[in-house]
Amino acid sequence: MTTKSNLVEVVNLYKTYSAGDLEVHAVDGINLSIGEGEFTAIVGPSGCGKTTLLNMIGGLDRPTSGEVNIDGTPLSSLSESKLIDFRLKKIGFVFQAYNLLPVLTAEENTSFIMQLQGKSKEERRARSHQLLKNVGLEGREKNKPTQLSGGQQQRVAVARALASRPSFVLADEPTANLDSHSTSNLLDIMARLNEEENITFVFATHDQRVIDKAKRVITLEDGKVLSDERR
Amino acid sequence: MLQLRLAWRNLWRNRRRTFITIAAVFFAGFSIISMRSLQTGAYGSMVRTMVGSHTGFIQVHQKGYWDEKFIDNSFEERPELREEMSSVPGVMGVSPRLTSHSLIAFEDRSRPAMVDGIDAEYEAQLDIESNLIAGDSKPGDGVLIGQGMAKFLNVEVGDSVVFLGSGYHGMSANALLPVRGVVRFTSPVLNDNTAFIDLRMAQYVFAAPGMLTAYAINTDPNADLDAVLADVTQVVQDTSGYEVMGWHEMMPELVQSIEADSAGGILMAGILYIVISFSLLGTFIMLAAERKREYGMLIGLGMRRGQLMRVAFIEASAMAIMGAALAVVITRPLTLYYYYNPIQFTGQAMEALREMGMEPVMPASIDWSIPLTHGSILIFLTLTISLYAMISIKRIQPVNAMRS
Ligand SMILES: Nc1ncnc2c1ncn2[C@@H]1O[C@H](COP(=O)(O)OP(=O)(O)OP(=O)(O)O)[C@@H](O)[C@H]1O
Ligand SMILES: [Mg+2]
Repeated sequence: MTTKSNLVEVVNLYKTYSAGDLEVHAVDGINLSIGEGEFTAIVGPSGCGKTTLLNMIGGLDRPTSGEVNIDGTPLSSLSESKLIDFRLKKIGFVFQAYNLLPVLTAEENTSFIMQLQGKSKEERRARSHQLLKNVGLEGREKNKPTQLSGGQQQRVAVARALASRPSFVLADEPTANLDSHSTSNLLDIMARLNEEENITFVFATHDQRVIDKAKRVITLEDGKVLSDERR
Repeated sequence: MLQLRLAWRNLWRNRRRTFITIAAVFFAGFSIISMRSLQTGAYGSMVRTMVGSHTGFIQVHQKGYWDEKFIDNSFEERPELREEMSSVPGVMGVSPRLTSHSLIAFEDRSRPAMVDGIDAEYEAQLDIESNLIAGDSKPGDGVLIGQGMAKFLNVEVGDSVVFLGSGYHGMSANALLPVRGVVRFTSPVLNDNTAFIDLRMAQYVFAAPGMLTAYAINTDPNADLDAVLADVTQVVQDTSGYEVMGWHEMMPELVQSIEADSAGGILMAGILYIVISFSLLGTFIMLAAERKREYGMLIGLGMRRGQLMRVAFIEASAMAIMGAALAVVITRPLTLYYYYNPIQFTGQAMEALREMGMEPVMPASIDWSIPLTHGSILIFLTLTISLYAMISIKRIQPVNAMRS
């Protein structure tokens, strides 16, 4: 398996929030790089800065200082609207909750991101069916989110994250609202996609089951990297 | 198109709110359009009775006549001018008149009256035939009087009444003329205080042969009065000797009372617009708050704010257009109905209106400009208020929105 070692490069990253007189160093000088095909978990206690780090890697939030390079593009060089287009093209997102548009069916939720990219109707249809099948939701294409369980909704979110053929997928606690069965199901699917299609996943989690599946575990504490182990 | 589909689904998503918003726009539109149609219709009918039935929408006089309505301010008849004015587009008729004042007496009763010399052949305002109660519709060698005056003087067709007045240049103007017809006029001035005699007879009695005090011009109700007025002025040419006046100028009190009443209606409409604006603002505040996370998520995924705004704009437009269109469509048969079957006032209201010289009927106006104006205002208002949703989309930061 060929890997690019520098798909994501985080250089001297800081994010400081000031709450009153108090300064919170949510991300406090992080350096790391993530290569293609990695299956990386970012772990650590609540408040250690996982979400903050992930948001900056995903271009959802701007760092106080430092740089994030994606595929060689420094995110700080992109304007707000360029950054939105960049996210659409390069990054797949799975959020903790409220991932799906309640007014769209599973299939439409998967395909609308391709519609934003201007893909043809046939391609959208074929790909969203394929992706929903890959996450085990064949036959549920016409269901609205309210007709799906929490785990099924997160699987639709994974399918959608892949629909745009992103460079990698960012998932912030994708299993936080799921029971153990749904969690292992979702993890199996992500692990398989990583194995079979070499899709890069980066996720933040507290969940031991997720950590167990990861090939690389980056542990944060107080906004700093405490350990970075590959298995 | 993705935006259209999202907007459409969003409208169904919170059906009750969509329905209430459309209903609110509709209700405001319905109330305002009905109110303004009835008001405007009433003004039209008021003008028709007060202006169209006697004065005429335009008059030509000797300069200064309207300020001092004396027979001495008369001018020489010009049949060729009357012909020319009659052929101006929008002019329906030109009535030559010689008007003066006289005391009218029968036995031991008398009453001061306006005496109108009319030419039955050319008379274009007075509708005598359909209001005739007794006798003949033409004065001939006698006089036509209103029902009120006939009652007051206690005369019947065939009785002769005495005229005691003064004519041109102070000549005495006395006559004994037989009553040829009794007419029931709506206007109290005409009904109680006016006598109509033949123009030639008037010129003879008032010692003003070949003289007129006015050409009263009737115009097509659909014509642009200002344009007709300009054309007539053009035809009259010699404006140093004549004055050409529209009814607005001749009857400023009528214009004022209409404007005052109309201002009340516009104020009411304004209040309704303000009320509806707040209700719409509430809708859009709720809508934006409810979708904050979703908007944050979509922008996070890579949807442009402009695309989201377009969705919100389509939603707002759909609700606005629905509500406004319903109001326009549903008020239409209603105004048409009340145009053909005017509201009839009875009892005290009827008496009050009669006293003011108005017919006690109130037809609705079917002028399209009323529903179209207010429909457009409603749509414009809704879209303006929906800017709230646009601005909140503009301001959304995905990270904060999803965290909340
Ligand atoms: N907008 C903000 N304003 C102020 N402080 C913030 C803000 N966002 C995050 N923080 C602080 O930054 C620190 C890191 O927050 P972050 O959400 O990244 O933690 P986390 O590791 O994701 O925690 P969890 O496991 O609970 O999700 C916390 O102390 C948090 O209180
Ligand atoms: Mg977090």
